[in-house]
Formats: sequence, C-alpha cells, structure tokens
Amino acid sequence: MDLFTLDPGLVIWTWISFGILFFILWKFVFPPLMENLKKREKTIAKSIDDAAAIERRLVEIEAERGELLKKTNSEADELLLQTRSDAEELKKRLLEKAEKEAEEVLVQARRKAEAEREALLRALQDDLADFVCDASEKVIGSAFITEKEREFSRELVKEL
Amino acid sequence: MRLKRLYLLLLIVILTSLTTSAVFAEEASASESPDVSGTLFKHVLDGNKLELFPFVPEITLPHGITMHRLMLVLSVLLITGLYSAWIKRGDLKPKTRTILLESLVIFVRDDIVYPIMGEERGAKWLPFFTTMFLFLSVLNLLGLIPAFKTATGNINVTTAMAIIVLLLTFIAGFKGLGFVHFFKNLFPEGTPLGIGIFVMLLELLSLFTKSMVLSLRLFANMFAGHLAILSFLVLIFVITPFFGFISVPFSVFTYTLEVLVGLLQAFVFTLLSCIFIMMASTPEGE
Amino acid sequence: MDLSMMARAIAVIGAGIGIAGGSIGIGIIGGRALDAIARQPSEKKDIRTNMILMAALIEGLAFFGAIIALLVVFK
Repeated sequence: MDLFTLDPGLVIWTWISFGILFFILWKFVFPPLMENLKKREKTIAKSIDDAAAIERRLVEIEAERGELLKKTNSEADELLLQTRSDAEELKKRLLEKAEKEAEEVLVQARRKAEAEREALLRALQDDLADFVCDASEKVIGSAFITEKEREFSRELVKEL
Repeated sequence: MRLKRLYLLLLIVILTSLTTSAVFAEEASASESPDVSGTLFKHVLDGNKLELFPFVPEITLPHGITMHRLMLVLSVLLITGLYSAWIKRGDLKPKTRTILLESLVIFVRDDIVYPIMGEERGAKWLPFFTTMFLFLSVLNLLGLIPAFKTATGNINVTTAMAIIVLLLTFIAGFKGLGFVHFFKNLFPEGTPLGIGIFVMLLELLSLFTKSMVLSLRLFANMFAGHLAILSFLVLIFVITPFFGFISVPFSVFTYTLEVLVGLLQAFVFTLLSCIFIMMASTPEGE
Repeated sequence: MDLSMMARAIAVIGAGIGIAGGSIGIGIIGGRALDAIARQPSEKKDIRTNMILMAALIEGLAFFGAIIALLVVFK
C-alpha cells in the first residue's frame, strides 16, 4: 500500500497553497477585519456608555421633576390658603361695611320717619285746632274768633 | 406529527441503505473476488480520478494534478473567496455570514493565540495561526463531501504543515532568545555537565518529534476517521447486502462525529503549534 | 496461516495494546481535568489548554504504536 509513499510534489503544493493563502489573508483580509472588530468594539462600548449616561440623566430628570412638582404643589397650596384667608377677610370686611351701611340707612330712615310723623302730627294738630275753632265759630255763630283765641285753642289741642 | 416525521426518517434510512448496498454490490461484482482493502483505500488515497457520482463515468484529471492537490487549491480558493467577498472595510452592522467568518478569527484569537502568547506578541502571530486553522479545518471538512478527498489524510500534506511549524519554532527561538541562548535554554540548570548535555540532546530531539507527532496525529485522525465511515459500508458486501440496515446508521453516526473531529484536530494542531513556538522562544521558568 | 499473516495479527494486537495504554492515560487526564474544572470553574481555559496539550503528547505515543502496526500490516 502506498500509505507512506513520499510525494515531494504534494509537499511543495501544500507549501505553495499555504503560502498563497497566508499572503492573501495577511495582506488583504486581516487589516479590514481587525479594523472592523476594533471599531465595532469601540462603538459598542461607546453606545453602552451612552446608554448608561442617558439612564443616569433620566433618573436625574425624574428626580428634578418630582422635586419641582412637590415645590409647585406646596406653593399652590400656600397660595390657595392665602387666597382663602384673603377672601375670608374681604368677606368679613364687606359684611361689616354692609351691616354698617344698613344700620345707617335704618337709622336715617327711622329719623326721617320720626320727622315726618312729627310734621304730620303738627299738621294734624294745626288742622285740628283750626277745625275746632271753625266748629266752635259755627256753634257760637257768626262771631269770629280772634287770633288770640285761635292760639289758645291750638294750645288746648296740643295739650290733649 | 412527530410520528409522521419518524416514519419519514425511517423511510430515508431504508432507501439510503438499499442504494448504498446496491452501489457497493455493483462495485464488488465488478472485480471477481471482493478486494476489501483495495475498495477502501481507493476512496482515501490520492489519485487522479474524480468520481462525481456512482454511475457517471469518472473524470481523469489533467497530468500533474491529483485529487489532493485539487483539494488544496480548492480550499485556498474557498477561503479567500469567502473572506474577500463577505468582509468589507468599515462594516459596522455585519450580516450573519460576516459574523460567521469573523467568529472563526475571534475563536482563534481568544481561545488559542492570546491566552498562550499574550496580546502583544499574539497580534503579530494571529494571521499565521488563523490561516493555519482555517486551512486545516477546511481541508478536513472538504473530505467529508462525497466525491472529494481529504488532503489531510495524506501524510505528505500534514508533514509539510509540520515542517512549517518546525522551521518557525527554530526561527522564533533564534529571534526571541538568540542563537546561543536558544541552546542554553534547553540545558537544565543545576545539573552535572554530562547529564545536562544528554537532557539537552533529548530536548532538541523532542522538538523534532513533537512536530512530527503533530503531523502524524492529524494524518492518523483524518485517515482513520474517513476509513471508519467506509469500513462500516464495506461490511455490506463482506457480510450480506442486508447488513446496510445496520451499517448505514452507524456510518452516519461516524460521519457526524467526523465533522467534530475535523474541527477539533484543526484546533489541536493550531493550539499545539502555538504552544511549541511559544515554548521555544521564551526563557525557561517563565 | 502463513508467517506474514501471523505477523499482521501480532501487529494488530500490538497496536491495540498501545492504543489501550494511550486511552488509559487520556482517560486519567480527562477525569482529573474535569475534577479541576469542577473545583475551580474560573480556571477553565487554562485547564483545558493544558489538558489538550497533555492528551496530545500521550496520543502521540499511542500513534507511534498504531503507525508501526500499520507499516507492518500494509507492507
């Protein structure tokens, strides 16, 4: 069997094909391949870093937002409270003013009514005195009553 | 569903068994008495006949080209073609096929060269070992395709590869340590002169034997592995044509094992040559 | 049975013995390497490299036996 026969031709063929393969891979395939690998490694590392940074920023923003929200909430609460107290005060003041005004109006009205009544009363008395005088004139008959008497009767009515 | 698939598989197995039985029976009947080893070795040894299909007349290759030489050229064309077609400069979003090719290089880099040589020296040697790994694994696997032959199943090819490794061991040793220091490195420290020289000669001899065993290992694995696939099939016409029902599943199993062994032997060859070159070019005790 | 047939048979037996020795060695190496990996999974890569190296050296010896037997059988 030619299992172990020496075949120098095949040995040389092997060397040549291995040499050609090595040359082509070393010269044309390896530089771009290793460059790609390195670049891709760098890109992946960079994108992972970026993602981590973005995550961190996101958390920060979230925290900031929460803080801002809390602050705004408390401000709004305060504002509301103040507004409410302001409104309360205003209401009270308005109420007071209104009451005062109402009282004033009442007092005035009462005074007016009083005066009117007095005037009315006076007029009535006058009228009554006149009426009495007239009536007594008619009773006495044609004799006129003097001014002095009239005055007197008026006094009388007043006393009534 | 599963049962259906099982039946289909069984049918395929039976059909292939019968076909192979028929083919081998015909081959056996061609020669009057079944020449077992002749039939076996015709499929493993180098020749200048390309037998594409059992019933198609075989093609005689032109003068000076044998099957193993054709396989060498084919593997070179295959590797360079694939790598130059699928790898482009500045490719940041690679396709699956590009990743497949790159992963082989990364495998050699991260599992063989860098752990042994370190990054600085490894980067210089990486193209060589990647070429070696790709060349050998493609040669090993090409032999599994029907009508092709295993070039690494020929001891001349593996010896040629081992001679490259041997030469590189010496060159790297002389370059890394200097001519005198290289031999001094083989001399064990703190031993008497006589024993020391004897050990030194043994060490020097072991440099050669290690490289030669490297070639023998690859040759024997490939040769025996491919022979094992055929041996199961040859039993068909040694015993009875119906033995195909047993031997075809067995040879399919051996075939799948051979795929693994082919890659593993390329890996082992590359790993060991890397270790030898490294051992020869670093001072003792490091 | 003639003499050359006898020689071939003996060569095959010798190859078998040689391969048996090699396989015992590789078995021991593989078992110990698995032990070591189970104990220290972090050192897996180093252990595997050394395991393959040792197994390869032993395998080489076994191949010597096998090749010598092959020479006898096929010559």
